[in-house]
Amino acid sequence: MSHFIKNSSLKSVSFIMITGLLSFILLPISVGAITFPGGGTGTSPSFTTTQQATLNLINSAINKLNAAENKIQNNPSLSPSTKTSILNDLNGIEAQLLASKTAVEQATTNAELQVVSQEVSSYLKTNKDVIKNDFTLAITEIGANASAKAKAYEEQIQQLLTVLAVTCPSQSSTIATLTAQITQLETDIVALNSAIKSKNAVAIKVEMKKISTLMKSMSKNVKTIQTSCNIPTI
Amino acid sequence: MYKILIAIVGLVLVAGVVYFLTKGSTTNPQTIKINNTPFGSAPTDSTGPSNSVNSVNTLPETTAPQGTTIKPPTGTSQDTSQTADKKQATTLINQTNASAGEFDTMNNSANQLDQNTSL
Repeated sequence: MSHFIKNSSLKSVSFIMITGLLSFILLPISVGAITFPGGGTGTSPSFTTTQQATLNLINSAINKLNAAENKIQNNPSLSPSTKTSILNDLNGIEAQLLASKTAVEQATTNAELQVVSQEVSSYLKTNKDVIKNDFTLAITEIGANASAKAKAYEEQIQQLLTVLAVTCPSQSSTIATLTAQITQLETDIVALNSAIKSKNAVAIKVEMKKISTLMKSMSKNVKTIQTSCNIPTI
Repeated sequence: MYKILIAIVGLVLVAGVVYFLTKGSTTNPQTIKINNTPFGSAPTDSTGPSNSVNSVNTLPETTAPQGTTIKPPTGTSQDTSQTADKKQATTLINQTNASAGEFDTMNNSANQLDQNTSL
């Protein structure tokens, strides 16, 4: 008897579980919430995956553009006109990408999504070097200003050495070192100007770094002379 | 007799007065001249002594013995020149420091821009 009851209860439980499971699977299919691959509706796995991948691509590009815009906006060595020109360029591309993002989000079919995704992919490919080119333009301008500043520094140091030769003859050795450093500075300025002319951003940075390091060494030597000969700081 | 004596005495007195007036002075008035030359210049004609007042204006030249360094007193033009040179040196040093600082800022600005960034 107990065996019969036990067996009957087990069958009932199994029936309820199987019915529930089927309902869980079939109900969404019946209302169209789930479609199988190739179905073409806006909620298919392939659609969602493609849509999200395209959105990720767009968002990544927009983030890079925003970061580039901030760097240009906050750069203290760029002229307002160059800033405006570059920002207009970057903002134009960002606006286009934002429009594409809306189109991707509003696509309802695989066909629509595929068209928009291909457009986005092509647009990014065409403009992939926009930041690179704008940054090169900015670096070239900074390099030109830096070259002029280095030349002014050179002239100031030469005047200073003329005065120090009279005021501080005891430091003739350090003065001679500075004279040699001026020669090196002239060579570096020529190399910087060459890099600027060819708009070689990497070479511009390399030469600027060399000059910056040289100037620090020269300033240190000037400080030595200043201290040794009691030249006032103010 | 008295009259003859008085006449002789009178003649002697008159002759004496005349001599005194004409030849009696021992100073020759022709040698006295007034020196009108300006102070400090050499007189054109002077009968005075050689070390007259005019010659006092010129100090005798002195020569430092060889190997002697004459130290200028403080406050001379040489001191002023040295101070001016140091002041000019300070100005130029400050200018070079400012230029070097501006160059460093530009160097950092360029380094903030990565020319290899692609979309």
